[in-house]
Amino acid sequence: MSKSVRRWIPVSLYEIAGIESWLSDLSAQGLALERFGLYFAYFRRTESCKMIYRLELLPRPMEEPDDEMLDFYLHNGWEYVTTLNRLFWVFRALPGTAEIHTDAVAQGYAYDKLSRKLKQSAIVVFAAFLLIAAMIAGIYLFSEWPVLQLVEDSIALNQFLLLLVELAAVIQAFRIYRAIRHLVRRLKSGLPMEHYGNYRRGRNVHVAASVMLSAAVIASMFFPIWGMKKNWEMPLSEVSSPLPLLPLDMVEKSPLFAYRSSLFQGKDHDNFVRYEWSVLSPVQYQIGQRGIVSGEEWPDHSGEYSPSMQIRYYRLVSSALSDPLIDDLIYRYVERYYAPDNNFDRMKLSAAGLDRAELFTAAGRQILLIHAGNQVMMLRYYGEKNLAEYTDTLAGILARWSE
Amino acid sequence: MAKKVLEILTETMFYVLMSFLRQERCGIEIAEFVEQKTAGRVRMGPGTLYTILAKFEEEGLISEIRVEGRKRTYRITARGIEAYHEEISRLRACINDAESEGEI
Repeated sequence: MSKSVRRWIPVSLYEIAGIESWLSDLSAQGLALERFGLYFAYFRRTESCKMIYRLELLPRPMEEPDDEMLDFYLHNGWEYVTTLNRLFWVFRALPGTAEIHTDAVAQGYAYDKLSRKLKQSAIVVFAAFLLIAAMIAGIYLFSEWPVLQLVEDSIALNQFLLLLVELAAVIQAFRIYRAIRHLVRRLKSGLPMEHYGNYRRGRNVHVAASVMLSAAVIASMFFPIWGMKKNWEMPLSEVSSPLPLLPLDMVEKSPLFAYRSSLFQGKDHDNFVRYEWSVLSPVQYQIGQRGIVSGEEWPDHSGEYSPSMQIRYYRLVSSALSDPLIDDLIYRYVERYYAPDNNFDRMKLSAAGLDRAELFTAAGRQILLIHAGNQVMMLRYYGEKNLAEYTDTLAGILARWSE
Repeated sequence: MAKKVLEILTETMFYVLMSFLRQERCGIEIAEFVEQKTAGRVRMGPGTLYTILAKFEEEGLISEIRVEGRKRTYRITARGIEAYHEEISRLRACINDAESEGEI
């Protein structure tokens, strides 16, 4: 008969009458309160014996009532059970025991102090929310390529979750403050505290909100770590799995073409594959390729012909992001980056299976942007061949990757 | 002008303050004093007693002077005596107002 059982706390700890009624009802079912945890209350199984419970605001900062207090409460029929959240002492007594409080106005003075503290904390929480919201909004609103930043940012969801948690905290802080302020007014007008509260009414909402908030907090801690763990980088030659890749040797078509590596600190900075994860684009690749064609020179005779290509591939969670992402990529890699030159020719291309294809051409370099459904690809090519010839090939690559 | 410490002294609060006039007391002694003084008319629950003591101490009307074993003993301060006399004046004024209206 002494097995401990736990029950989810059905209402906020500040819904005093609700907690008291709940504990009293459980005592009638043979569950005697032992202690409170964060979400659960722990009970001891006993004989069914209806008790009344009271949450008593700590008169001063102390963990438990001192001995004299315990004696006097007990003398009046009230047994100390536990301390709740360093805010309330929980007492129980048999039904019919005289009330713990006999002066509502005096009790109102005690709650008045709590009400002022809650008001201050609600304002602080609200200010923190505004600050965080402004910081997060600032990151994206003042970004020159907000969609690109959101898509590549592995902590975008984390920030959103943080904001949600903070918003929930603001709502809860003001709800609690309003409830206690109402209680103070009631007590100061001489009306005693209510000890019956319908804890069943909001139970499901409270439990669901608690679970969701906890999940959001855990997820906001977990996502950045998970995102980082998923990322990897390897030399292109060592990757055996299929890649969204237009091989540079296929573009150059020269038997004299050879890939050229540039090793620095053990990493190949010319021919590599980098995989990244983000919430809005769970599959992202950056692929670098560089080579030389022996015996061939750049048209301006500036040196040996050494074409290169950087590919960025994004598989987005929604195709609605594709066009805005391409617009941002154009701004980021064409208009903004090459603004001083401003000498790109812009050409719209078409190919079966592609929703959009645009080619930007300038002397010795081309930037091709394509998208099909939720896939976006950007190829930055430095060389003398024409990427426009490969739109069908690229459409085929995207079609294979969409499967 | 000194800060008004409490908006109002309730009857229970007034008797708690009164209990310190002649001697220092601990919680249970205060409860006994009030019960005897009012012949049981004013009953003070334990929550009320300790809430009032904490509030009075916070407002500087009483101060804790020692803790011995299970007992915590308090005494009234000059500010407490002042508050007590203010309340007596207020109550006297109430009685005088009532008496000046004569009998019904």
